[in-house]
Amino acid sequence: MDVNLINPILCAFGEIIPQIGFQTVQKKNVSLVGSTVSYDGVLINLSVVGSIKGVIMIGMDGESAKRFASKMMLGMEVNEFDKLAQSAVSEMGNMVCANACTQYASVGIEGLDISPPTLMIGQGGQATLPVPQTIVVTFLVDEIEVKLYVGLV
Amino acid sequence: MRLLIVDDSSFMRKQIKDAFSELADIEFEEAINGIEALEKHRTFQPDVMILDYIIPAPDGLAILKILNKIDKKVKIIMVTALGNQKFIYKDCIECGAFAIISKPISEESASKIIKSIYGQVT
Repeated sequence: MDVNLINPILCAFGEIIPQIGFQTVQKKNVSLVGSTVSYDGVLINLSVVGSIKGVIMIGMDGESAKRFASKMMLGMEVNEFDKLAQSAVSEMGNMVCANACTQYASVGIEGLDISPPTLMIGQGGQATLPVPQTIVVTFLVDEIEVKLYVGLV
Repeated sequence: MRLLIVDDSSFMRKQIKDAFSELADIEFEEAINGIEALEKHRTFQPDVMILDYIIPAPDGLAILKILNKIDKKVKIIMVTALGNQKFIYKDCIECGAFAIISKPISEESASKIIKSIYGQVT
């Protein structure tokens, strides 16, 4: 995977997150894994189609997902990761990926489109991406750990 | 003002409702896909529609094209996270959108929209 493909997504993440109620976005580390990603908690999955294609996913554990949704809903208490909370974090994935498409357009990669977000919830889950390698970027968003998975070619 | 919100995300429908209800006296109705949007347009007869660009089929642009032919009065505000891409802006304006706003929707953008349409539909 071309590492240059990841910068627009990182820019998008850093641009959108502060607009939806968060104060700090810190990049903790970057790693490279294969096509299979393991997750515990919540995984938001969006497909990208166009001149580059693949998958962007955003994951966090169950408790983090509730805290994240609560922040997005202006501090509303989220005891259960219910439909509204699921909708909130899905929408965050949608906004980040859509903004990434805009960032790609600004560097000449135009006309990209994204699928509606698919939300996967569970423990010990695995997702296999249609690419040989996936870049994983771990962020701390107001002390909530969020993993961004990028598999694009 | 009668406002129909069309978005498949319950979070976005709530956010839009919260943002706009603070700004004006508005009667709300909601739809979650293109088919329901057309049905609610017929029964609710909104003055304004806030229509997500990406919704389950028929998508937001298709709904915009249909309503532009059958109802010249309703003001349709397209909402999209892809709004800064030129082709989307061009498509929406050519198909009769009153305005396009980007997600996430800020209080400022909601306020601007209300100011620009309120006097025309009450």
